Amino acid sequence: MNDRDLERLLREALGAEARPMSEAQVGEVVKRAAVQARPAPRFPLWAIAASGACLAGLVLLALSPAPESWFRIIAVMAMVGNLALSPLAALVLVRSRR
Amino acid sequence: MRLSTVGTELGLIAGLKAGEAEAWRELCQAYGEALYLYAYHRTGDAAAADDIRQETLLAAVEGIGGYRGEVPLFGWLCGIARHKVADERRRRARQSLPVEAAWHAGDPLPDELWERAERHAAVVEALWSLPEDYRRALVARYVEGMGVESVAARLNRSYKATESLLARARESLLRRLKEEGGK
Repeated sequence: MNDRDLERLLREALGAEARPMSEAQVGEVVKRAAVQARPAPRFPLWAIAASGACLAGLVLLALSPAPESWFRIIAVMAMVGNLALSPLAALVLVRSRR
Repeated sequence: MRLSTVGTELGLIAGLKAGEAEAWRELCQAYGEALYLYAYHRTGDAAAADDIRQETLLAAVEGIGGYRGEVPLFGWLCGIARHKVADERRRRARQSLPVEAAWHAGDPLPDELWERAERHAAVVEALWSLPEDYRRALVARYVEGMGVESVAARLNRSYKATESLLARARESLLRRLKEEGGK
């Protein structure tokens, strides 16, 4: 390819009017990059540990010679505790992503 | 067209991978217009080219972690854009719209024009995959029609060094075009 051919080819290829990116387009890319760079959310370990402790306590109590009324009270508390922990952990997770 | 500059590409890539706003802003500035030109040549449609550029950059955000530097950054972006162009062609085919609709009032594009457009896209890809000083020298010499002396003044080099730079730039461009022709 001689100089003239190269010149023609480059002029043709770059001849079209290039449309610059708008600030909104650049902003969208930058915003997406910031979100992408955040570390992946991890479920709060304390919620799993607390939930596990509730269940373990329940099992231990069931195996112990404690009266049935005690068992009932603790079982209800463990159930309520476990039910409350999941939404609480989800809330923490969502807040940490903001 | 405006020719933006990219600082150190390695530094830029590290910034992109870290999700730094400044790095992504710099990428958009450096390659946004070239990416548009690339997509425009391959679709012939300004609006589609604009969309493809944006989709390509957003896909680049998702995929930058996997970029290993085997190809120049712009070549990698063009690889993503090629898939987006293919998607656009499929979309148009489904709607029975020829890809070339914007060129000649809905007439199918003649093969010769099609090949020329593909060649122009390849030139854009090859040119922006070159080191920046090569690209600036080639554009100044062949697109802006400057003499070697003026190119030397613009690049702050001696006449002899500029001649040598232009020769190496030409060689690199032609080699890249040959490589891209083989894809």
